[in-house]
Amino acid sequence: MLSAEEKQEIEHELTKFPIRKSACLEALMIIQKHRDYVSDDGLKDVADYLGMSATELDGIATFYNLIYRKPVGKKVIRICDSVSCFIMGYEQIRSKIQEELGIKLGETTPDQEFTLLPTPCLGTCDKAPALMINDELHRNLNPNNVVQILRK
Amino acid sequence: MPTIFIDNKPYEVKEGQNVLHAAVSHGLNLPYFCWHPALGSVGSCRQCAVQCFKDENDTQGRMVMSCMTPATEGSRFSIEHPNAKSFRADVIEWMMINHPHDCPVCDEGGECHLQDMTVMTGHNKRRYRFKKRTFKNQNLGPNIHHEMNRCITCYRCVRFYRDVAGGEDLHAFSSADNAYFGRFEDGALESEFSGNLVEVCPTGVFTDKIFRASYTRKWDLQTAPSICQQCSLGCNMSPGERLGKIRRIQNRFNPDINGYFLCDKGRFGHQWVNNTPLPTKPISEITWPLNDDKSQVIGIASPKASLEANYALRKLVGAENFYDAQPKGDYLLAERVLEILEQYPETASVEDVRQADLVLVLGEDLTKTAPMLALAIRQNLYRHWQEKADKSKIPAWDDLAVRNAEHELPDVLYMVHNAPTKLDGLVSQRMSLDFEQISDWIPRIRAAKNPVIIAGTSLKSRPLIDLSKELRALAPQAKLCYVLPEVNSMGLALLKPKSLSDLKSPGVEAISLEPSLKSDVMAKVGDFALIDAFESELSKRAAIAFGCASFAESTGTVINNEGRAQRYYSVFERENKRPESWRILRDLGGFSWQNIDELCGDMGREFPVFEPFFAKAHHADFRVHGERISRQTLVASGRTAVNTHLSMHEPTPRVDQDSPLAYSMEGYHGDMPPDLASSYWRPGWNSVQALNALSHAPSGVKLLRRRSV
Repeated sequence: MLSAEEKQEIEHELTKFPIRKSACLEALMIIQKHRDYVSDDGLKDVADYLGMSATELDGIATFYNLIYRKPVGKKVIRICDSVSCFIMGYEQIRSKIQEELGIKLGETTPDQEFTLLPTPCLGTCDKAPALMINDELHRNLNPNNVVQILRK
Repeated sequence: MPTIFIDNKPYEVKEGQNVLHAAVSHGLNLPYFCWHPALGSVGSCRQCAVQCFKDENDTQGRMVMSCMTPATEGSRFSIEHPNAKSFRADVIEWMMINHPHDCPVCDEGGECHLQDMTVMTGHNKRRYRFKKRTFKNQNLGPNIHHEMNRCITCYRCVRFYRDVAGGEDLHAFSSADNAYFGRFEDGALESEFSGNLVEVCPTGVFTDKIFRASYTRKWDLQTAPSICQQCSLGCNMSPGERLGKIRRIQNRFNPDINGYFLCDKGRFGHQWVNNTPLPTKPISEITWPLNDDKSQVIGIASPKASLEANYALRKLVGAENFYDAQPKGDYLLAERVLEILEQYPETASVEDVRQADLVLVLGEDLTKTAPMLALAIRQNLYRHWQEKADKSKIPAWDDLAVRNAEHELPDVLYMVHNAPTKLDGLVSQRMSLDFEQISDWIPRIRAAKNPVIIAGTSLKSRPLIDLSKELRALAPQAKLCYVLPEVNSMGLALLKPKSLSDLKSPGVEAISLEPSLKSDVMAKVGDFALIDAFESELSKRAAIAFGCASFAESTGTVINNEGRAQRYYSVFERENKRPESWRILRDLGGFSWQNIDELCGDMGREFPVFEPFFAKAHHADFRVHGERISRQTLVASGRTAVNTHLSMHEPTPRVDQDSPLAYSMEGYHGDMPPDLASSYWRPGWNSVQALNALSHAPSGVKLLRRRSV
């Protein structure tokens, strides 16, 4: 069931579009904001509310890597694996993080603190390698400072 | 017709075609995946690359995707150019990176478009050394098997399922290397047309689950041209048999009716043919339990039986005793429909529905009563989008551009119905079944160029049938289309049976072709003989029951809802062959017909309405280059071994007395007369895609003529 608050926010987005299902991405972002991720039930709720099939909505939800279809930790690390970062040492940074947290790409720590995800480009190639933790950008990484950043 | 040059040879092509379509129509070996004649082009797979030249002096050229390039007058292309060839080789290598090498255990093996294209491109050595990506499959219900690892991401499945058939529960998920085609969660596919995924998918992601349960390679199936027995539209199909069992049904292309697709009822509703047959004895060995004077016995005809069977029954009992078992209301409706069509014989085919600029549906829930008409309406709306896009110079085959250019529902579908139907989202105007405001629609109907009025007998409503006639009278350009209850309802109506409700002498003895008699009918007749293919409650109650051949083991004629006569041919003969129902009736009546042509000769003389079809149908003595047409493929396996547990001697193939087809791999295999072709093959093209280079267009014969007054 969508909460009254979620419904109100979705309704607001609906005013911006001529077709109801055009607001589906915004609606998914809204329930992700309230529930941390989009569960199967959450997805069905949104699909029903917008008058589209769950299958169609899930096709859209799974296309975008910022819509989480599984539970994520409090802090989501998005590490750039694109060309510049790759050349500047992405692999060492990734190994260090994996060693420190004991998780692989796409996994969440057992204490639900961190989730590690790859991302194609953060637009900061001149200060590669880079990663983001939630909305915070960290650049010019090396195996030492990345551990400090994680422990902060 | 424009002429284009491919590798410096001129080819005449159809106006408005793309280069790929033109090339494969001419039988050229140009590989492709995402294009399909009914789905158009999206240019996503990059497999059909060719070199394109400015003029005859241009030797360098540039690479284009042939499916996205219009075949305009004088344009020049090369399939054999080294750049294009090496590019296509690279593309197939990418596709094969994640594709499992499981052809020997894959249901698609031997009729796989991906296999054909890989061989055609010459990719026979794998350089990729790493792990392949793997997926979890879904349970998609009883009909379709899912094997996602084989996917090459051509998107044909969703383009058919969602865009053409309007299904909402199949989609592409995720992106790039992880793209996945399936449902939100496990469960049976909801669309009535899901079975077409089996033929649309170029490889083995979606395969036929019923076929899988008793699997046989394509080349070991014995096939014959057949007609679907599930509704009155008479879609063309091709059942495949091996070792006495029907294994699967595939589409048989007929541009006037089903085109490239079948509904699931037609494709998957065939296992009843494999039920325990009702045994039979030759007439000489039975004691006839009813009145010896057959004119004292009534005949109960069946709209599920062939024209030949019903005619033989009529001949046996006489016109006075020839009855239709339908309830009185249904009987009168069928009579009324025929009466209207004898006044207005210009009936609409399924193709006419696809081409109409107005479709009026009066009280039929088409997705249930004639599914292919519902699909035709969806295709019709898309065709309107194509026409509008054409004004913006977007070619009709440019699928994505057409869909992006146009979103508005065309003003085409008008529906009179109270209950919700699956076409509701496409309706532009709707009215309840009392149609009090019908006069509001009349100007629109009159203004239409080629409207189709669809009505039918499913609601058992005489006023709706009468309404269709009144609307037709107001719009002379309109064509009528009536959805009838059974495959041969029209054929039976043309034989003019009487209604069983009018039977004067209750308790009379009967011979029935109809296996599902209602209790009120049963109460009217006394002892009866039944002619049916399988055991049933009725066969146990019959004084005598004769087992006859089912449609898959016999040859016969059926007449579809538009009055089109079409012949289905026997696919196989059982070990203990049972006679066709008309042969049983022949023996009972002591008639002399040796084969179907002799019976049809008599029928044509008595009922001239059928004569045009019998004149055109291929007689049993028809031969191509002196040969019968083979039902089996050239490479059917095990002929000398399959019976060795019984005898070392290879059995002689039985001679088919009723058709020019042979139960053998020997016979004619070349270019077929369209009505007799049941499988499509060309060298290098083992999948159904071989059809694209063949010009098969079976047509049947439309029989209805205006009744002279």
